[in-house]
Amino acid sequence: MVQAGLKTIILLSFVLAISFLLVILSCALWSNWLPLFTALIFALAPLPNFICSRCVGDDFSAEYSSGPVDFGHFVTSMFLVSGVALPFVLAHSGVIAEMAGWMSAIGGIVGYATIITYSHFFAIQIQDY
Amino acid sequence: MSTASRPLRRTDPRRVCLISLPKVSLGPRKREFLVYFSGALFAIGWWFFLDAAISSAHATPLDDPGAYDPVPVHVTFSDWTPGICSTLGMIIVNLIDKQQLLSDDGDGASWGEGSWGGGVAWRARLFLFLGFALMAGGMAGSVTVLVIKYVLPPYPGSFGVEWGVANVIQSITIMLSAIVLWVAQSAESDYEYNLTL
Repeated sequence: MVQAGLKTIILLSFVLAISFLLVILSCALWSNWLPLFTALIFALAPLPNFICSRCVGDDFSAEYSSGPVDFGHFVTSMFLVSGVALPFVLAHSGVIAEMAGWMSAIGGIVGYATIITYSHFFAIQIQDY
Repeated sequence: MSTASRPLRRTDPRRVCLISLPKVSLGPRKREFLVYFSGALFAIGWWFFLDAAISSAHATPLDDPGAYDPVPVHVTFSDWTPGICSTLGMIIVNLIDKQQLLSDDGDGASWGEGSWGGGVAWRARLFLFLGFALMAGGMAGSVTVLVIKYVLPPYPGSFGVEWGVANVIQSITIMLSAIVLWVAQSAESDYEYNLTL
C-alpha cells in the first residue's frame, strides 16, 4: 500500500470541497434544490455494504453464507447507479437544467471517489478496533 | 486423423466445438465484481423506466392543437406491471438454493420418486420455472404495452414510443441482471457442478 501522508489528506480534502461546491452550485445557481438528492444517495451508498458485512458470520463457521454480503454489494451498486442516473433523468424531463444535472452528477461521483480513496489509504487505522 | 485432432482436444476431451470460448478471468474478486455489475444493470433498467415515467408526468402539450391536445398518452400503472413482474421473477430465481436444484441428479431417482429429496428438487424446479416465467412474462408484457399502447394508436409524431421502448429496455436489463447474478452465484463453485439450463 502506498504510504499516504499529509499531502494526500490535503489533496483529498480539496477534491472533496470541490465536489461539495459542484453539488451546491448545481442547486443554488438555478435555485432548485432537487439535485441535492444526488448527494444524499451517494452518501447512503456505502451503508448497505457496511451493514451487510456485519451480518455475515465467521468465515469458517458452519452457518457462513455469502448471501448478505452479496446483497450489500448489489444494493450499493444500485445506489451508485441511482446517484448518477437521478440528475440526468431530472434534466431529461426538464425539472432541472441540463448543466445542473452534469454538475450534480460529477460532484457526486468525485465526492464518492474521494471517500473511497480516503478509506483505501487510511483503512489500517480503522481496522484496529 | 486422430493425431491431427489430438492437439485440439488437449484441453478438455468433452469439448464439442473447435473454437472454445476464451476463459475470461476476473481474478479472485470475480464474484464480487459480477454482483456489483448485476446491481448496476438492475438500477439502470429501473432508471430507464423511471425516466419514462417522470418525462410523462412533465410532458408538455403538443404543438399542433389537433385532436390530441393536450398530451395524448401518459405512463400509467399498466406500464409498471412488466417491470414489477420482472423484478418479482428475478427475486424468486435468485432466492432458490442452487444446490437443491441438483440434489437428486446423481442417483437417477428424479422426478417424483417419492423420497423427500426428490420433493425438494421438484419444488425448487417449480419455483425456478415460476421465476423465469415471471421474467419472460414481464418482457412479453412490455413488448405488448409498447405495441398496443404506443405504436398502434395514431399519435402525431409517434408520441410516447420512447416510453414504451424504455419499458422494453427495462425488462431486458432486469433479465440480464438476473442472469449475471445467477452466474455470479455459481461462479465460486465451478468445480462442484456445472449448471446447464
